[in-house]
Amino acid sequence: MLEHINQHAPLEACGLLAGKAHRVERVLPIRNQAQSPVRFVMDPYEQLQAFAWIDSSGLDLLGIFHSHPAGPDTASQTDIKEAAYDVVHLIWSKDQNGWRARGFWIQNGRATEVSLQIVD
Amino acid sequence: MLTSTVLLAFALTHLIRAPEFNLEIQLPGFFFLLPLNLSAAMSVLTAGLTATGMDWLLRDHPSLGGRPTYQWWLLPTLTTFVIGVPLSILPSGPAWWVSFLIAGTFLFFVFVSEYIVVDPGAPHYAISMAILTAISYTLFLVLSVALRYGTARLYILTPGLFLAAALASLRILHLRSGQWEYAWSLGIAFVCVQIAASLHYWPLSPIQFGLMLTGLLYGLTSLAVNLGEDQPARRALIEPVIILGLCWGLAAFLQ
Repeated sequence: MLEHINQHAPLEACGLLAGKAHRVERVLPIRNQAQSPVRFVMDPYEQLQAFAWIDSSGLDLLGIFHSHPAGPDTASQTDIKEAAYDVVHLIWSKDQNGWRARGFWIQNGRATEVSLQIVD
Repeated sequence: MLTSTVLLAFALTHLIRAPEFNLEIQLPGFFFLLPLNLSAAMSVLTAGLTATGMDWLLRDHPSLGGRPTYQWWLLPTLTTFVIGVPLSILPSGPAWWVSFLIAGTFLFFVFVSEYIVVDPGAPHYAISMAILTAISYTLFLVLSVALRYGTARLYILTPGLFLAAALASLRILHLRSGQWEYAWSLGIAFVCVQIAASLHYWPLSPIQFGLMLTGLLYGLTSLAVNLGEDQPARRALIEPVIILGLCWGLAAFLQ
């Protein structure tokens, strides 16, 4: 994720997270069609291909990630309004110490932070 | 007796704890995973039990006249198979028992209605035909909602919905025209599955998904019936378009 995000900064970068039983096994970077520093729109063709790959690999969609190169470090109003899938939304933001990620569960117009655990 | 036997099989399947395992095969291009458990085995067995049970009931029908019985046990078999899906997915609790009662009522009405429509001169023929038509659409709705609720993979979803759409439309068209409209049924099922595949990755709730597909099935089947009655194309389109619009409009407002 970091490689993809760094590659596209200062524009927002995005992608999907696939895995099983709340454990992410694969990161699927997707082109940001909006090519904007404050907004992301996943390329529909790449998104469809990613969904098909997840399905055919026997995995589940567990999360959607995107970056906020200019902040904030939480889900924006646009993120909350446009969240369509019931999965964790991972938001990468940048401060003086570098990139950091926070996870949010967005449902019924509300974003609730969820804890993230890095495992081997 | 047939309804009771099928319901007993469903109840026992729910109450008995049996080992289960997943059949996992990495095929070229996709990973195939089929859960092998008591519910899956009993779904097939109860469907078979229904088919043979209906055949046994129909053999004594005074108006059968040596005709083959399969046309009257297709829908009951599909009914048993379809209602087994939500009953195997739903967790134990009041919702499961309510579904179980609804399933029993469905089965009873399907068995009785199919028995009645063997004789076109039977006193309750028209109402039985209406019940069977309504049940055919409801079954398709239940199956599409249950498959979506159970987050079925595309390779399970498409053949399941294709079979259900083909059988439901085949039965409805046969009830209306008296002909086995295989070409129409296969065409309707093909279109339904194409739309189901395209909606598969959309963030739709199970009820939205089911309503959109059932509206489509109703619209296409109704179009086939209208065209079969030699209605002008524009007039034949009115009812299907209205129903499709209503179902899709309702789905758009629901979450």
